[in-house]
Amino acid sequence: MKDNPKVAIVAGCDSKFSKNTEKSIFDIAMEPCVSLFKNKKNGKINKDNLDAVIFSSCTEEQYTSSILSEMIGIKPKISQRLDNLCNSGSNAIINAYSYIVSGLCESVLVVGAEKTTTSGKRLAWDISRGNFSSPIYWASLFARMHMRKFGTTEEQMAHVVVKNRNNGRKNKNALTYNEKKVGLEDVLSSKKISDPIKKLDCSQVCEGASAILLTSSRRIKEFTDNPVWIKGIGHQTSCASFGNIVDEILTSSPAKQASNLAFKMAGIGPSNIDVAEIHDAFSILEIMAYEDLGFVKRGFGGKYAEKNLITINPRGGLIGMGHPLGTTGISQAVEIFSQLSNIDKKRKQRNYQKTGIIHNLAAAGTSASVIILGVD
Amino acid sequence: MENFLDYFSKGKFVLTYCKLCKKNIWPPVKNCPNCLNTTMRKFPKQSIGTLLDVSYSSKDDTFFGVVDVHNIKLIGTIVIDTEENKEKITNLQYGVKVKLTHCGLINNGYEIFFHFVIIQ
Repeated sequence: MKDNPKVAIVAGCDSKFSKNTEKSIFDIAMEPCVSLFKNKKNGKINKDNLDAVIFSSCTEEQYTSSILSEMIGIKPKISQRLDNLCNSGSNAIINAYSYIVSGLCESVLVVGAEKTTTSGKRLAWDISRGNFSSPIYWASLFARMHMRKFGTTEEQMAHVVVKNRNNGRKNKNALTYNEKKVGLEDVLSSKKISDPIKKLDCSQVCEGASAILLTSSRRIKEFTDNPVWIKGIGHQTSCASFGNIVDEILTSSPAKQASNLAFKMAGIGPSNIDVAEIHDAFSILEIMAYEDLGFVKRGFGGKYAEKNLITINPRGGLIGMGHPLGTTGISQAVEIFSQLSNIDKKRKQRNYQKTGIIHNLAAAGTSASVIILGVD
Repeated sequence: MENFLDYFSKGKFVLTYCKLCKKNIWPPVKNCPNCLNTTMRKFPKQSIGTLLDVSYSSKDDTFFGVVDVHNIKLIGTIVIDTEENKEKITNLQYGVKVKLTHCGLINNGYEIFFHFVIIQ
C-alpha cells in the first residue's frame, strides 16, 4: 500500500439546476463538462489527460458513459455508468478513487446528470412500503420516530430548512436561487403533506448535472496547484427495503457505519470537520445525519440544528439546491471542493476551512456513503 | 414476485419463510438471504402486530404506520373505527396492538396495500 498514490479532486462544477426542460440527458451532462474544460480558472486542465469516465445517473438511457465520452471527444481506457439511486454520485467518486489507487487509471472524470422525470424517484421493488411508496412516507415515519424517541420538534427541523433554503437562494446554480428569504414561520406554516413533514421540509427532484475531475498525486502538478485530497471513504449498504432498515435507522444506521469507516481511514474525528454537505432530502434527515456523523450524540441532532457551529450545506443542500438523484453526490463534492480550495474564494463561507465531509444516502437510508476531503 | 402478487390480488396475505433458519422474510424472495436455501410460502391465519409509529397523510387523508408483525415490518393504513382509537393514534404510545384486516393490490396492481385496526 505504501506506493499507492493519493487521490485529489482538481476541478469541479455544477450546471444550473432546474425544474424541467426539453434537454436530453446528454445535453444536461455536457453542461458542466464544457464549463470544466473551458473555465480559465482551471487553466492546466486538459481533457486529453483523462483515462476514465464514470457517469452517474438513474436514467433509462443506455451506454451513457461511452456516448458522453464521444461527445466530450475523449477515448478513455475505462468508461462506466453507475446507478445506486440517490447516492450514485458519491459511489461514482468512490469508484474513481479505487481506479486511481489501484493504478488502473491516473485521471478520472466523474459526471452526474439527471432529468426530473427520472425513474429513480420510486423504488418499485420495495413492496415493504405498501401503497405508501413515495419517499415522503418513510421520511415522515422517521421524523415521528425521532420526535417520539428524542423529543425533536418541528421547529428544530424548520431551522434546517431556513439555513439551507437561504444558502440556496444565494447560489446561482440552485433551484431556489433568488427566491425570497425564508423564516421559521414560513416553514412551520407551509402546507403539511405527511405529518410532521411540510412542503418546505422537502427537497425537490429536479434536473441538473455536475462534474469533477480526480487525479493521482503522481500527476497532480499537471492539473492544479490547489488540490483537495480524498482523505477518507466509507460506504455501507445494510439492505434495500424500508421494512428492513427500521430497526437500525436510529441506532447503528448505514450512515453511522459509513461515517465510522471514513473517519478511521482519514485518521481524524468529527470535531475536525469545518464544512459538511449533508443529504437533506427531508429536513429530518439532516438532523439524523448530525448524529450519524458524530457531530452530536444520538438524540441531540434537533438541538444541534438550532446552532450554527460549522458550515453545513453552503450550496443549499438538497432542499435549497435541488435533488437530481445521480448528480447530488457529485454536486456535494463540487461544493466541498469549492469551499476548501483557493480556486473560487467567493464560494468560501469561512476562511479557516481545511476539512470537509460529504454525506450521501439512498433509498430510506438503506445505504450511505461518506467521503472526507482535506487540503493538506 | 408475480405469484405473490396473485395472492394479494385475491386478498390473501402471504410471506416467505425459511424452514432452516426458522425466519419470516419480507419482501418475498425465492432464496433465504441467510442460508440461500429455497424459501416456502406462508399464509398466516391471523396477523396481530405492534404499531411502531404512525403519521397522518393530508394528501391521502389517512393515518398510516409501520407495524411489526410476524417479525417483519409492514407499512399500512391504520383504519380509525372509533373515537377512542383516534385518540390512541394521536397520543401513540409505543406498543399499541393492531390487527391486519385487509390486504390487496391497488394502483393497477403495482402496489400492495395493508389495512390495520387497533385492537388494544
